[in-house]
Amino acid sequence: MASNFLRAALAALWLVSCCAGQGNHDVRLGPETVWGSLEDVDAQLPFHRWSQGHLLAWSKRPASSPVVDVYDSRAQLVRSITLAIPGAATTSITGVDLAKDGSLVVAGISTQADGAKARYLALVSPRGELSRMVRTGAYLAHYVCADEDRTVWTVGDEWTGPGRVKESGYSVLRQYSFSAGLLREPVDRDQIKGRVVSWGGQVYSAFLTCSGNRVRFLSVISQQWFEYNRQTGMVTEGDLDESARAVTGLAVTKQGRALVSIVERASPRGPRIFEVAPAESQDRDRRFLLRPVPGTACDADSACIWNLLAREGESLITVRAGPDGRRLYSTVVHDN
Amino acid sequence: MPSSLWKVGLAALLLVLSFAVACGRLAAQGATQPKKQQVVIIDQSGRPLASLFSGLRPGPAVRPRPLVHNVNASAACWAKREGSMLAGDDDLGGSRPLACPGCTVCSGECTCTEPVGCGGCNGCCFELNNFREDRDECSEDLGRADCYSECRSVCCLDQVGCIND
Repeated sequence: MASNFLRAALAALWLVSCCAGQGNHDVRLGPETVWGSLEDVDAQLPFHRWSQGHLLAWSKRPASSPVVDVYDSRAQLVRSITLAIPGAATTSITGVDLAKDGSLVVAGISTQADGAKARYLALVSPRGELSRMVRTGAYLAHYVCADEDRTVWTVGDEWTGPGRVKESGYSVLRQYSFSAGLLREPVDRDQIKGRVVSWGGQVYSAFLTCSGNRVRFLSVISQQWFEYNRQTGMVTEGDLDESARAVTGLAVTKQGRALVSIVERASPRGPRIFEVAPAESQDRDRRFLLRPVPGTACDADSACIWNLLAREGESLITVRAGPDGRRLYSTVVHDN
Repeated sequence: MPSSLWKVGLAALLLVLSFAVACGRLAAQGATQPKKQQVVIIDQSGRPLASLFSGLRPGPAVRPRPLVHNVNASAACWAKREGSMLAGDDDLGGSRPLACPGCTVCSGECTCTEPVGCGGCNGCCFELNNFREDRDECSEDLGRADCYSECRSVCCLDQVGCIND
């Protein structure tokens, strides 16, 4: 009797977990195309971002005139942009993005020969000329998003001195204009649970998008999700589960759904793409859930999704890794 | 006499014409030469700055020490020596020799390293580090290096803390 009860309970539990896992899946992936090989991208430029149909590659290492290489969808180099900041002995590039008109937005820190340091946002024209800069004070932007209105959204930290991060009294998410400076500071530092939102390492510590009517960012360090609604000016914040520590990319579909790629050591054959979906419960600590997108599990017979770079038209741009190395894929995304 | 006047007049006219042509060419060259780009720099309040460094206090001198690719320097890698970089990754063990080049020499920066989680390459997982430049808290002998490690026949790049020589 007891064992029957136990079996029934286990069956019910399985049913519940099964249904929960396969719930309301409105996002699915369609046919995919291999575009190019990342093996063709300069290995000295290990930071990558997909923007406006191009792959941007750069290094954070200080240099007298650092470069941002621009590759097409076949990973062929089309442009190499040199950033020469007047008066700077060395310049580090922390983040880049391409605006709709082909201008390059760059964030970073420059050092003069006398050791003076200036954190900056820079605008490089489509002809490759440095045209405008904003000195961002103590704030070092690490992630930038060129908005359609020619402003720039950033995620970063403020520093009180070399190596000392300021832990309150400013916004980690900011909107800048190259003609007016700082415009908006919607996310207070106190809302961030980690010590920093950015670091200089190989893998991203945060992801930022500014498409549609929302600006969103994910803090990998604190596993938090933030959405800034442009129309209302409201910020919605929520904790994600532990698996958000392994997020490797973020993209927003045409319908406005946020998708992230996750590569978890604990489940190497598990799904690789998840939707950041509003939680149905009213639990304040779980306003958002990571809901797996079907058909994105890592299959031993095919290249596994490693990074979700962006959404381009009707497709997701991903990096997949397999025996042939890392390749750029374009995968149709159905989002109904 | 009138013919010599005619010659002098013609010569003067030719001189004036050639001068005008030369001036025109110079003007045309000036118009097509790219002008030196003026960079507009402002602070966060929108106030114009004469340069990006206007009014900033000098700091410690810049000592750029570029990374040099050196496959023999892998033994100097701090994280590798500590075992944190490849910690617990079964895929990276075994008797097969690594085909990847190892680590670059240490960058020479003053960098603090904090392990912050797990990330990786090609399905393998490496320890992620948070790097921060810190001339006050970290000793000068800490830096960072790029390490290439094998994972399922792929060389993965990871940045690790290291000790400067």
